[in-house]
Amino acid sequence: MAVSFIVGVALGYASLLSGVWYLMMLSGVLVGLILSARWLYQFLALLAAGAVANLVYISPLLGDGLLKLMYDVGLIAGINGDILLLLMIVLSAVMSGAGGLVGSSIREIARARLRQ
Amino acid sequence: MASGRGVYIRLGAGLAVVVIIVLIGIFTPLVTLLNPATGVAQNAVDLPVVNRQVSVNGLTNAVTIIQDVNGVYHIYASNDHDLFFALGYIQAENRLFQMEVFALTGLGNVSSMLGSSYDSYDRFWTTIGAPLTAIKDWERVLANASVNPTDNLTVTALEAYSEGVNAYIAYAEAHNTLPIEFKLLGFKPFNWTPVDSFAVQEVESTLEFGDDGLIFALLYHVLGNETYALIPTFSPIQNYYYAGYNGPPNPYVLAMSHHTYPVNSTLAYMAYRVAEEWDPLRLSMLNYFLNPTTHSNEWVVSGSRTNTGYPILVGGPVLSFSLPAIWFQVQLVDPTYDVYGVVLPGAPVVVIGFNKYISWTLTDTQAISDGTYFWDQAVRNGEYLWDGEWHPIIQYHINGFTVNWTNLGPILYQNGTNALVVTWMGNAYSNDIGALLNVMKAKNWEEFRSALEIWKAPYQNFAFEDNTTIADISPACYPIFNSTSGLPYNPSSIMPGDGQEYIGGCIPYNMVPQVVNPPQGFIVSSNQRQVGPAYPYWFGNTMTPSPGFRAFMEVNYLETHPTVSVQDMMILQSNNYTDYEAALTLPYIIKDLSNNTNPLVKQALSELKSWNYEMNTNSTAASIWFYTYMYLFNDTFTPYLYAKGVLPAYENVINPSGMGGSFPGTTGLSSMDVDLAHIIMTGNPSPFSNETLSELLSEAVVQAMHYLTSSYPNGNYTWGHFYGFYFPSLLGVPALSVGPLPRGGDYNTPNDASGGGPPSNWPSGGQSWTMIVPAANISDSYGVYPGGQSENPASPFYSNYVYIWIRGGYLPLYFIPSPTLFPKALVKATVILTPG
Repeated sequence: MAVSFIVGVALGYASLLSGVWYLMMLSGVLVGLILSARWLYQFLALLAAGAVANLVYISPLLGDGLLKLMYDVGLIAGINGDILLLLMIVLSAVMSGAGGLVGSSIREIARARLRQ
Repeated sequence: MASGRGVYIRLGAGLAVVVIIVLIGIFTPLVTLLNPATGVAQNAVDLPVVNRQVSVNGLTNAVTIIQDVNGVYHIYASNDHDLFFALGYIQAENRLFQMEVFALTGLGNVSSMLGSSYDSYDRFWTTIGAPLTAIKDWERVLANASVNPTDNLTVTALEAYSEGVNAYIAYAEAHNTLPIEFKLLGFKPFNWTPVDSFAVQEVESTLEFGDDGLIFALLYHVLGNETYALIPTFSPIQNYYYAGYNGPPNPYVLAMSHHTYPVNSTLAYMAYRVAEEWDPLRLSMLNYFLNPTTHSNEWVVSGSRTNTGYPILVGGPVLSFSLPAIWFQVQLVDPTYDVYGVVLPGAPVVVIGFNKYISWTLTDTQAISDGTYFWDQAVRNGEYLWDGEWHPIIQYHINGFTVNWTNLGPILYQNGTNALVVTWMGNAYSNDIGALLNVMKAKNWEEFRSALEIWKAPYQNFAFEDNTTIADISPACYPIFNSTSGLPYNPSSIMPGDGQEYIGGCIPYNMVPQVVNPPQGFIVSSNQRQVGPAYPYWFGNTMTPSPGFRAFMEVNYLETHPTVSVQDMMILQSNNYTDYEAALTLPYIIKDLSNNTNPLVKQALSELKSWNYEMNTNSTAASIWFYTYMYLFNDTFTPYLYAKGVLPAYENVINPSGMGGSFPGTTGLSSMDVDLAHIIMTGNPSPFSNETLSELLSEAVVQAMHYLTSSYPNGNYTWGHFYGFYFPSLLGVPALSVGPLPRGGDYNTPNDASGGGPPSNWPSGGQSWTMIVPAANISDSYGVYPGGQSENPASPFYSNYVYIWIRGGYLPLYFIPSPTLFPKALVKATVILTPG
């Protein structure tokens, strides 16, 4: 589980660097495919990994005024800025976790087929 | 090991979540907006104000940009190209969204960004000709550049500016820092071109767009010749005309002004339909210039009347407020230029400011300020009639609209074979940008005046000072109307468009209003009529934009203060709340009501008698004056308008209240404020009311006191409860707006705007830039505008100036000739742009 978490954070951060947010899903898929673990623990680890990767990525922006900015964006968009920020983190977590579910499921199915 | 079925369920669940997220990303902006790497979060990178170096393709040499502690940008370049390039870059960095909104406004295409609710807005701009003129102006400048130095300079400046803006767009796209508004709207900024700068010029030219001619026509349709009593050609009160020509009215001009083309029902219907749809008040949503209740202040005092022996210039253009503000402060330095002032979003020229030698400012002209003329023209089967012959109508298809032009201009409305056509001076070729590029480097009055000779619209008064000269000039193409059948018809109304009346040219430049070093030692041109009744050219009437009391107050102050200082000018401009109309008329009111026994009247008089005419926030007398005046206005004119049939028939477009329409949901007609003052001073309300002035005054005071005492039973009806200013955000988000904040003043004070009463009716317009420049030491200049340099609401420079402006404060304007001389303590950050 810890390994899944650490690798998930690293791959998730790398995905964010690419600018293509959807790659967070791919990072989860990769972890799920490659690392063997109980699916529930791995899912939870990747959820956390996605959230942490996101937080690490935006942490420099916190000092730049990110909270104030999201607050103002929220005013324009009609949604609370803190909720927007939370939504961002949750989406990263869900992408990573969902990818992990897909990856671990494919791994299990493939192993089962190979045994047959 | 998980069951076979279980693993497929988990696979399905995972894939479902993936698909849902992708669909959310496709059908909503959420994923794009919240992407940590490319979404709005990345805009936080631009918030810290720090030293940086940016490599930019297109520059020829490095440019140093110093942002001072007040947020002003000082740009130091080695050539004109790099100077304007850097201006484009830094202005885009701070105001790109505003710039694109502005340009789209002038291009008649705001709906492409903000949605179909702006279709009517776009139709207006397209129909009056703004996008066409922007294109044509640029094409003409480009075609002439090889033979005309001003046009050549314009091309250099605009192309470099466009490159700079586009360089910023490319940088921001690459670094995911485009303004948040673009991300929220899902709108990709367009690359800037010189046509966009001319579109911005067109937006500015709507200072010269109004429907006065239509309103006058509607009034004439109902009132006939009584219209001239309601809207006199010359004010019965004004006696200061900065450019002279006092004396009896020119008989030809007066006759022309009273020779109005008959307005039949068909014409009245067309006029009403157009005015109803395109009344400037309805269209002012995104336009800082189109609000018809905006006015401006300027005066200049010669060295013979200052404490330093050198002139002082004071400028206070009144425009609509918004956040971001209309203005952007810069200093521009290269071997050609060393100029400080404010620029518009999208036009690379200092509109109001100063250089080492001169300073200047602008105000709207009175009388002929509405450079919009209307015609009744016959049309049939795609042709219009002119001089007895039929000619083809030219059709343009722009922005999805079809616009038909005759020789006189665009057709605004067609009813059978009648067309209402407009000649808008904003469509006249005018390289204002080029004129200002030359003004920015002028060294004396002769060069300044010469630079403005090509300025055709909008109609502006330009006040000027250098070390030895004060002057004012109102350059423009003021049409001369001729007629083949004798006396021309009144251009203040609709004219016949069959060829009998035509524009024969413009008032010659040496005859436009102007004055140099007048003997009284000062010049005031704060929207009052510039030339007196003896002026030999038709020059409009008293309809808009100002009855002149504010200007008279400023004249009165300067006449009674033989020596003034910069501090005196600050107080006069921003902290003197004397309502001159009150000073002029209240003595008559008090005298008239002196024997009135009504307790409310006596209570009101007890306060008014000791009042100093200052509209201060802590004054109850100010509130009594305001409401008395407003009710008096309504009681005098509203029954008259109903009796004559103007109301309720035309109340959607003619619904006046006093002080330029200061009651909610009303409009202003400056003539009527002049009329009311004259009524008070003469004691004769005829022909507008059958009541005596005493009766009207008594009723008005009682109404005012009823309103005030019922609103504030404890007697605390101080003016600060009824007047102040609101600073709305450009997108209309209340939480990103500032105010309403109370402040003294009213329609007749230098810090002027119409409005008042409940905070929802407080003005969102006023002196948009207050600048004071002492020629003795230009580096000791002061100024502030109510806004901030940045359009990013999270920036510390978004609205920081508002709180200085609202208390009548000023900031020093640092005028530093080179980056090496810039005091370190005044530097907030330095940006070095290097060639890529």
